[in-house]
Amino acid sequence: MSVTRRRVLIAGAAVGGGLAVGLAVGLATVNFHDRRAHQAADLEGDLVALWVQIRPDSTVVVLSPHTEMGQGAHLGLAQIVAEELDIPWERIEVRQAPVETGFSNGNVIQGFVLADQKLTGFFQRVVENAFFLGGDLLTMQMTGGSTSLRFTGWRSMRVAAAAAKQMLFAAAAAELDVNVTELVAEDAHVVHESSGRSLSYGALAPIAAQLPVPQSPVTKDASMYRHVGKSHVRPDLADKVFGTTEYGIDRDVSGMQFAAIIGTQQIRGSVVSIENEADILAMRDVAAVTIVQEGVAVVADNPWRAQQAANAVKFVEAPGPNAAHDTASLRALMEAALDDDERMTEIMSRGDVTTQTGKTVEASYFVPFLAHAPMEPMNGTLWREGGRVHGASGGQNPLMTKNFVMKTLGLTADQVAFHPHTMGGSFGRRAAGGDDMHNFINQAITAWQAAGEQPLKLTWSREVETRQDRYRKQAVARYRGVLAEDGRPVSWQADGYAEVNIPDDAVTAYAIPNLLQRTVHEETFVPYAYWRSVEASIHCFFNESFVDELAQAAEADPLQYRIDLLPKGHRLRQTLATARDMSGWQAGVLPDGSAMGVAAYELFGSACCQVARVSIIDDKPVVHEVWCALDCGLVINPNSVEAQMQGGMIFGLTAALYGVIDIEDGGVKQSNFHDYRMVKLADAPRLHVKLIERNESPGGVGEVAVPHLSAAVANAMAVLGKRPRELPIIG
Amino acid sequence: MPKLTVNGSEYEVDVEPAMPLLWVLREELGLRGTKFGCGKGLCGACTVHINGRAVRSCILPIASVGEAEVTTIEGLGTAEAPHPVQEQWIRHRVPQCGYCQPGMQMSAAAFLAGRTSQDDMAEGPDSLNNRATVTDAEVAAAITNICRCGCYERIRRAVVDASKEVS
Ligand code: FES
Ligand code: FES
Repeated sequence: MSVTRRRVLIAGAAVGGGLAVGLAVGLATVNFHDRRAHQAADLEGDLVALWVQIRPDSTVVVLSPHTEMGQGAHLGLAQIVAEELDIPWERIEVRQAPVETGFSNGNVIQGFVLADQKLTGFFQRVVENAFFLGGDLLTMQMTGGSTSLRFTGWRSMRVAAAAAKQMLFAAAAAELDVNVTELVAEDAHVVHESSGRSLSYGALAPIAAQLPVPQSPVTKDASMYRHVGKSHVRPDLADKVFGTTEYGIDRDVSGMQFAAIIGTQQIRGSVVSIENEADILAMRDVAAVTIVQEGVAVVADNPWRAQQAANAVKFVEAPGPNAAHDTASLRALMEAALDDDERMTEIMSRGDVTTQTGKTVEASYFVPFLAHAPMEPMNGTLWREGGRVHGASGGQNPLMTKNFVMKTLGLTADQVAFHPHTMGGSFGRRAAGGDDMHNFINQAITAWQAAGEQPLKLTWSREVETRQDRYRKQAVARYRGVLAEDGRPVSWQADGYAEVNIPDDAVTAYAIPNLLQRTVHEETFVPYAYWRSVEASIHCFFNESFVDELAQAAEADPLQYRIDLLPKGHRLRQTLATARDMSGWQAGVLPDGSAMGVAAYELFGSACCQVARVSIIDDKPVVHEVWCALDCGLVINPNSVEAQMQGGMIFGLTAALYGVIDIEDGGVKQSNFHDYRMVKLADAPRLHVKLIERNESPGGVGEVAVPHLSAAVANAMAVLGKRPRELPIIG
Repeated sequence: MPKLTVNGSEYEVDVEPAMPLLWVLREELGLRGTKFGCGKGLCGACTVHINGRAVRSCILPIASVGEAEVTTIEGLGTAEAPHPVQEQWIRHRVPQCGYCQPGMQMSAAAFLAGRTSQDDMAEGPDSLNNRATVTDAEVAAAITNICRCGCYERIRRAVVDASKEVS
């Protein structure tokens, strides 16, 4: 693998001795349109990330710009670096990179987007958002879009580690006065086998640090792998089992007070006045009550007291412009838009869908708004120490959160320190794509100031979490398909009211000669955020339901129908065949009255097929078992990938069966887990995962298993005579 | 001042009788392994043991705890001396984000312990071997905690395997 001229491998002496290797990215030749080019020019020369450090004792530290929310990113990064450096597993350690611009990964992302035209879709969108919403890439330390291993790990750290190893070998060759080809790596030593002499990585590191950095280091051949592809144990496992992991909500600062929120009824509502301030201040240990973004905050010396007092606040809310809106009115607006050809934009067109004749199938679909509902509610801690303002919180983009604190308080980077925490789930909620996602941090800052800037932690109640989230979008779609005599579709038309940033994730992969996909999309007042698997969560349900309806109309086996419609060599074909074999696939009603349904979809560089076996009991689906076949390219850690598939399927099943955020009088109706329901053990099906080996670069994993089950369950129910076309199926 | 026995130690706490045990544990005693998820008894993140039984501490007023023995995740086991449930949690690599896992393990441990002692009384020691291993359905009925990361498949396997040891 070679490094393009925009990305330069750099190295130097590490603090405390040893060798540090990383990337520098120059962006002077940015060719995007003006605004971005202008901003990028300002960044030039400043983008350095020294990720891989070889210490004098021959241990290796990987500084990860990515944060942990359960996905195991740190583990994967460590495996990639250990592999390339050829060191024993015990010698590697991953640390969270400092929340400083030097460890921004926006530069890496941008560097790859510029250098590698294959990178489009979500990734492009992330970069654009960083520019347009967040300001600039220097404030980006993003974990999302299933990028950690694919880009930071595979395309950056791997190359940096390969360069480091090459430099260590060059240093050893000079020291031992031998040809570099006579050297091998063994237990973090460079060994000259014929003479038996060796030097440790640690001893070589300072010498290597003086050498030029190879710009096209040779990376290891897959046949030599001993860490990649192995199920090493994640470093945070024991802490999570014994309950010693410190999440943001557990941050302890001496003298800390606690803030709680009572939120406005309206989405993004504002409070005009507090009616009973004196009463609230008279409650036990209440220190302050203040109007904040989207509500009122109360500060007390215990979080429960703060919440009790917040719940007792009486306030006047400004009349909102959206009070007349609810789920139905928003849906009516969407349906009306679909009636209007003028408003539609083509995102894909081939052939002519208007002139085909034959058996015609039509269907409409609907998916609701969804909240993220991580188990750990949003929280943030602020205090002063050593002349700086400190912030602590879990986040997928800590650098941007730090930047938000700086901006809000009018401080510079050296006046603010930020401490990222492991997250108790996130699923996009903590992605901090812009100021709007920081509503809880903004509330914390206002409350902290109102309470005299004493150390303060704001924690959301589940009710606030549910109602002040930013949501997966509601969407509607209408489909029309025409079948030829042999049952194959000759025409496919899809009109959707849905945002399409990633045409590849929206347009069906099936080879249909005449295809038209159009979309209309306008922002509603309901604020939007990435939600695990992003738009695929919408389009997979639509597309994979509709192709199933076509198969049904053609009286064909829906799994084989899909295989036959995919172009030769398409990755989904193998996932379909694998899922068929592992599930013992049978079309039609099974002897016990259950039925199987299938969905296959490609996203984030991975292809996945899921088969669900479902019964209908008391009019409701019961999902017994799911088989999942995944092609995610090269597998870094099979156990981690399996865990992400299992978790993704449950996440997708919750959306399929229960997930709905209703809008009522301009506000969110749901409030807690009784009405925003989650799948629990009792309705969690048995899950079977099979990984298809493929020695290509790794695809995404964390989001890949989410979108399929909505369609697969619906398709199974269709076999039993009840096809749901709207989610959630149960509610 | 109310007295409280947690993980074998006695504490005196000066709080309102209505304050839920969860917040006393986390903020008055600094035992933050027990988590807040919903505050309404809906998710189980706050599960602790009261005299060995699993209880959702976010809705349990401190006044009603009285003299009872409270056990939290900090008292369930340690890396040096893990509870059988924790051993299986490690073996099956259950946690993802990990946030629900203290409550999940407390529920699992109480379920397995309660089951063993019930069998003991009802059927005598002879039946223990036959009934030692729990079924998937029993686990699903007994553990109603939420794991948003969706670790249920591994939770189920870990509980079934732990049941072999707990008996
Ligand atoms: S926090 Fe107690 S049940 Fe959810
Ligand atoms: S491991 Fe994240 S909620 Fe259970």
